[in-house]
Amino acid sequence: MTLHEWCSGSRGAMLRRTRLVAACLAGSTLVALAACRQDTQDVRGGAQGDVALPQQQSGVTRSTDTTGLPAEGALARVAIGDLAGIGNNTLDAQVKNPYANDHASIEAGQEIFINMNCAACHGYDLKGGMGPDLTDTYWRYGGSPADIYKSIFEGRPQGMPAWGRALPSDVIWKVVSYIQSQGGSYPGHLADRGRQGDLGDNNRDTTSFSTLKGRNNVH
Amino acid sequence: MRVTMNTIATIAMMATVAGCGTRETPGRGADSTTARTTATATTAASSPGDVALPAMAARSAAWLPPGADDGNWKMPSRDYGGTRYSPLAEINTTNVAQLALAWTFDDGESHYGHEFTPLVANNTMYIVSPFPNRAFALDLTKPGAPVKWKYEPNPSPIAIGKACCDAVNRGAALYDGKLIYNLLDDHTVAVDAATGKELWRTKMSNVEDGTTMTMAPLVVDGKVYVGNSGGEMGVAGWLAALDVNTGKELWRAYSVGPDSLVRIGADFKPFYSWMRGKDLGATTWPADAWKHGAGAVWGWVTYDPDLKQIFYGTSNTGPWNAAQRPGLNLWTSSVFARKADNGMATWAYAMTPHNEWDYDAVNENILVDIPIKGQTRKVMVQFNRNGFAYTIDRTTGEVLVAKPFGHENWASGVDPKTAMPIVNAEKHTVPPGRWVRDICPADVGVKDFEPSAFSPRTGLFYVTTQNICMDYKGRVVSYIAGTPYWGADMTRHVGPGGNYGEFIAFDAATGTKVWGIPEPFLTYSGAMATAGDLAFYGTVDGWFKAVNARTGKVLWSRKLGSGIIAAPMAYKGPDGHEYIAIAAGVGGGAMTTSSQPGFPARGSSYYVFTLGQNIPATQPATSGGAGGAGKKEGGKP
Amino acid sequence: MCTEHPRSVGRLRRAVTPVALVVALAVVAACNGTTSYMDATGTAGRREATLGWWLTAVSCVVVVFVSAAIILGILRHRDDPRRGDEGVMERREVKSGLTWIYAGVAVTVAILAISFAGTLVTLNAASRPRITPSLTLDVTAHQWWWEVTYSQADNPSLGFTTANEVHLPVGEPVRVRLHSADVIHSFWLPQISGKMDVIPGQVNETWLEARKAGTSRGMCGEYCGLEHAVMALEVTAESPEAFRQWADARRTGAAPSTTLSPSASAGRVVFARSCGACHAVTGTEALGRFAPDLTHFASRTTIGAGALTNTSAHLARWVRNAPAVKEGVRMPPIPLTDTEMRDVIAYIQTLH
Repeated sequence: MTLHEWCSGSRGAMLRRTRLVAACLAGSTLVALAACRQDTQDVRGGAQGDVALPQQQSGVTRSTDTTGLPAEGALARVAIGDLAGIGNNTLDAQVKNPYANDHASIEAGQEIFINMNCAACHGYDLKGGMGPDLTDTYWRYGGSPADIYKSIFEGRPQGMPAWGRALPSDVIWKVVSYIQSQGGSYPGHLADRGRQGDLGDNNRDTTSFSTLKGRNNVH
Repeated sequence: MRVTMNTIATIAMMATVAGCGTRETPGRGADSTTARTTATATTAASSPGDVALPAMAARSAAWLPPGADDGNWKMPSRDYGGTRYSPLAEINTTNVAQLALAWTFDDGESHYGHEFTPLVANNTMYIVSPFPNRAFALDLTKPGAPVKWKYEPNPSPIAIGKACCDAVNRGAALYDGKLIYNLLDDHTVAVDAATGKELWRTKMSNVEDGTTMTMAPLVVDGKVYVGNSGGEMGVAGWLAALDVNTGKELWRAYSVGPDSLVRIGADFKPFYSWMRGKDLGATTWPADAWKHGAGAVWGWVTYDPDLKQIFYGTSNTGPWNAAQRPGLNLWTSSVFARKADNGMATWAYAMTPHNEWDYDAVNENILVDIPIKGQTRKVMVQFNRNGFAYTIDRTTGEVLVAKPFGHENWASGVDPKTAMPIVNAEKHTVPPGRWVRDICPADVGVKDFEPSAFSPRTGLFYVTTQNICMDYKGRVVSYIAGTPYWGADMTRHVGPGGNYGEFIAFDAATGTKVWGIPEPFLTYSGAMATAGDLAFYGTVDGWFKAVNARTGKVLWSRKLGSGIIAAPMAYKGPDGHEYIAIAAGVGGGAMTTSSQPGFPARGSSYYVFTLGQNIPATQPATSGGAGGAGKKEGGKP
Repeated sequence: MCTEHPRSVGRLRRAVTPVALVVALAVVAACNGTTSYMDATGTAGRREATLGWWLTAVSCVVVVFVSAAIILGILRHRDDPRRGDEGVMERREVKSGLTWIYAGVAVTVAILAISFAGTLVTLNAASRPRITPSLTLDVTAHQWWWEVTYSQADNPSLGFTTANEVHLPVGEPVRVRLHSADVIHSFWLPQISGKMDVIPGQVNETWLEARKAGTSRGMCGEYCGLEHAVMALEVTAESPEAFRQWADARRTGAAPSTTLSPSASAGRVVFARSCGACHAVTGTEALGRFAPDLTHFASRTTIGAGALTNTSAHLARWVRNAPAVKEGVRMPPIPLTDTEMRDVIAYIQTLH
């Protein structure tokens, strides 16, 4: 339909057509705006509310977990060792990382890992240095995602700072996602085998302190 | 004709005799024969008839710790001037090939590198392990040198995660019956050398903030001089003086900040104009940046008893990313001369102002009096991380010689008028965020902390050097207490030639290398020179070698259990014979090359060598436990 | 359009009038206030504004003149009896209109020449300051805030860092170096100067000189992500004396904790613990560099580079859940108890 044709014809018809076009435009604008807001939203995990790990709190610790653990405090849920061989202390290991395998979270986690100076101790390639290698299967304090979360949150005796007061929990989870993406940690269902040394060497270069060019950090 | 023949024959004979005289025979002159055959070692600081090399006159006893004699070794460098020279000559160029293992001792801490040089006094050897810094006294009068006592200080394990470069200990001092050293977790301790009981323990800093202590204290004139580590952790560096009897802190001189903190006053007269001014330790930084500017004092302190001044250097600047701290960043990467009694500075010199490459200045400042351009000068010589060997007048701070002693390409030289480095534009690491390739040396330098030695007989310095380069990318970094304040992404690679190490003899009067022994692995041990005209060093793959100090010919070598990153020492045993002791336990900064094929495993043993003829085939059985039954072990506080 | 019907001209006029009014109002609204580049007072900005006004005036005159000519032409010959039977215009002799053409060309050339000369003069004035600036601003653009570092080459101890605000001494040019921490932005202080793009991987240089004291608003001039529009700079031009006082205050760190109330003192601890890993307050142990410097935050008028005005209630809302206020912002929700929130806000409000 040409402009000429639009303009010809009755006034009423012209008005109807104009209103129709305006309505279409308005509608598509609204749809576009809604879509814009959608795809730039920060990913928020689903299971965050029921993660039974130390949350950033002060004063009284409240348990919001649903795993049937005792209500008094996070310390009771530490489960590195085993009591006289009576097993299944894998409760913590079952807690999942709400941000695992999410690409945006892994990238955010890498940025935090560098900005919070984690890379300075553990290496930009996570191969260790002042701090231990995070890509092998040897984890002194446990290597399931939940164990790694706790190590970051609580700090550890040989100089690992306690980040639980400085970083909110979802930020710590994103760092865990990044570490998981580099292949070191073992998933929760392998936690028993990991603790018992059954996972073996994943054939990675274990010369943690070396910074010789071309070893792990080709650039 | 006959007369001519006779003359010729006479001349020929004289020439032969004269030629004989110039062969390397130690202790020439009146006591040459006795040096070879008797057990009494001779002190030969300089002998008449030596070849025309600069040599140093013998020094007064004030240059040695009280109670020192030819056969003991009471501080890591043996003397206050830092020469690491032993006057013992029983083991010399003619017989060192017979060196054999007398006994070994293992301190059980193979987790961390061994950078400790043993001390010997009163027929006892003293060893301090890496973390947890146990002290051992070994009874040299008994066969196999059993443990006499053990001291367990139980330092905080937090220190392990704050030590940038392994949980090491670089030395102790024996003074007035006390063994004095630093614990990794920022305590200085004094232990009764006879019993192993703790006498005092002083807390110097807070380990959770990232400060540790690894350096060997200098103890002289009733004072203990100690400094902090943490150049990578955003600390503020300092050197403190403690009372040797009580451990009480007398004063503390910071390396950064206003003059009141740095202990700069009317006595301060730096030689160069760019170091004169008020509060330069603060005004050469953006506001408050000096508070985390490092300048840690983790290296060696030396002392001139005539000037009554101490000399030491400060570490790199924090953070490594220099874009965050425009300005000259005084007084990091500098050397200080201070009055030993009150710590007020007399002069200072910054070797690498506005340091962009982590070139610390903490290396040993060896105090010697050597002829330069025909005139004997009182100098200090430092083989700096940045690859330049500085010969500095220690009375004024004037730089007399500054020449490279290894491969470097970051600076084309040191300006003779201002003594500032002339930086090559393409080796600047600022602005950050981009890779700068092939900067030589790497951050670990042409020489790291490992201490060099000086022989007053040859007038030469014996230096273990590094041939290693880096690719460097700077980054913005936040200061977060207890975490590294770094700002650098880095890889290292070997320098030209493919040999990571080289052991050299260097003439500091002219700034020239006299000879060098390239090594495939890093030479990270430091050195010792002896009156037997020998120089000793070790390699990171575990070879311990003795070389002719004049020619550089390797005369003896032995492969030890692990890499060597500590300096050796020499002592006279109760039997009157000379012994050489060395630790073998790789770690420390040498771990940066741990992926080099053939790199050794960790170790924790001390090896003691002597001439094979002095080692009995069997030892008489000892009765009971070492030190007598019923005696409680160690001095656990 | 639609002009073949005789009565539509009147209708056209009636339709056009409200639209023109709205447009005029919009123009006026844009022209007023703190972001109008047509009102610029800085050295470069003023010249550019003059050029802009000149070109606008010329364009308006041209539009009016041409429109008048067209309308006149239409109206004059509407009922021309010279139309033939088929309603087609017949050819006829036209009086020589060459004078009109000569006049038109001459006027156009003259206007073009003046505009060209004016442009050159403006470019020249805007290209470099008349004296070498002693003060340098290093501005780093982040998504979505500005990091501003002042420095003086001969005296490094005069350097300091702030965020989302720029102060300029009137009459003294300032060098500006632009860095990007992530994507392309554009540094624009409309009332002072023109835009300069901020491109990652290179450092663009420009300069600023304010000529009149006052406040205005700067902004990002190149789309840089979701919150491109919420990336404001508070620009204050003040006398050199007032500027030095401001700089001296900025150089000083936060007041020591002994001067704080108990609540603010507790808040200081909360701040160092929960905020210090990212934010810096000089003089404390909070020295993070990846988020805006907050040493003198209480003197700023907005939170989040223009997301909210700086009040305690807004601050609490921001700290509790910044992404809900400014979507996509890097600051995560900070879980604090009510007491901690109260204390830390009391502390932040002491940071003048």
